[in-house]
Amino acid sequence: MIELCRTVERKGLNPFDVDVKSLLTRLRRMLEEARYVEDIVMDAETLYRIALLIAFQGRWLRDKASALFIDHQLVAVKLAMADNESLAQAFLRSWRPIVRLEQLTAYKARLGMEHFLNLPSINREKSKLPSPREISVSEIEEMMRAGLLEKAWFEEKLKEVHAELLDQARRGQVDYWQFIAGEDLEESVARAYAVSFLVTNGKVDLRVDPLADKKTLVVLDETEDRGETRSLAVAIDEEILREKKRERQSGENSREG
Amino acid sequence: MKIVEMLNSRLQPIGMQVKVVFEQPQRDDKIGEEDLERARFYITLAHPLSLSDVVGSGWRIDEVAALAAVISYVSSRGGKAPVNDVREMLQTKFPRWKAEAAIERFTRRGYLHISEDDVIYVGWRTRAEVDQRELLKALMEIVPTESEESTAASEDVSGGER
Repeated sequence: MIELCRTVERKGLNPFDVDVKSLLTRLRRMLEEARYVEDIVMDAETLYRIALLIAFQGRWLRDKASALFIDHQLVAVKLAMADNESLAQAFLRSWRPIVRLEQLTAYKARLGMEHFLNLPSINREKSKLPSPREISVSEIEEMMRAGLLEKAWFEEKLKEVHAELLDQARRGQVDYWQFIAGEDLEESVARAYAVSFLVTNGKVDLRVDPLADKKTLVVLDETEDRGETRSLAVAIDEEILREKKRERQSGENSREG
Repeated sequence: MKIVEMLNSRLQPIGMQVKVVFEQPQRDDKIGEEDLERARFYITLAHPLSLSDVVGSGWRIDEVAALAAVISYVSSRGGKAPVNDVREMLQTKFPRWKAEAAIERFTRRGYLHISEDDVIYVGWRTRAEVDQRELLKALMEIVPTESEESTAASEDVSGGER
């Protein structure tokens, strides 16, 4: 009886072909005669399978209703009699091919992130990568002497960028890309780095409009509540920077003219 | 959902639409946040293709016919059917080698899914691309032609030779 119920469900056969009433009568008789626990457990399993079969009957009726109660044998006959072109035409009526095959859901993206965060950290010794701890104080001093690292530079840069932003904000909204675009990539990265610190300190807010694909910088009062905050990664796009630089230059030229 | 509607309004003029496929079949008025989070979103064509479009995009008529046959058959059996039954049904129209190749190809492309116990299910791509109810309706409206049996027989012969 268990195997019968399983087969009907697994193969999608008509569940109404099974006489549930007679199955239950047989099961009742078997249950009355059962003497051992194993038999009773088996009877319980059978009852569970019959219950699943009844649930399948309900589902089968719903499926049939959604398929307009068209029997599969009728479909098979129709298919055998129709020519390929008519079948293709019928299919085209119901077919809307997808434009691209790439797909990602928010759920899958989160699973991916969890997987990434659970990956073991890199073994620096094995892969012969220098450890950050290996940089000594003397090396830092050496880098400062060589002009690669400047202690005061960053604080000054931060103040300078903040002042510039305050000035531009008085004239209206400040476009993020327009603001960070410097004379070269190095300067643009430095400005973006400074802006990120101003945002973290709460002096500036970076507002993103995903629909218009626009990022705007807003100077905040110290008393202003920022509301809900979140992290945002912005990849430096050289193409956008070049475009913004061109826009700025053409604006300056037209003002001079 | 508002974003989907906005995207739809942009896509409609260029003949495309967003198709939302839920993990479980939904009633439109009962869509919850969690359903949407687990749903898949596809951009599909908004209007039917013509036969010449399909042929132009690399499909053969008999390949489309085989896909129509398999999907409508599996769909009429509640979304699943044993591989052997599907193969037998296809062999009423195509030679054996062609029927087997078609099942294999449609599975690879995501239109079908074959479980370990050799049962064919409707695949994710069918759920995204095909209105199964409309397909069955269209199939029932086909007026049979007389020349089909002879076509199948002649193809069977050519299949046997291969």
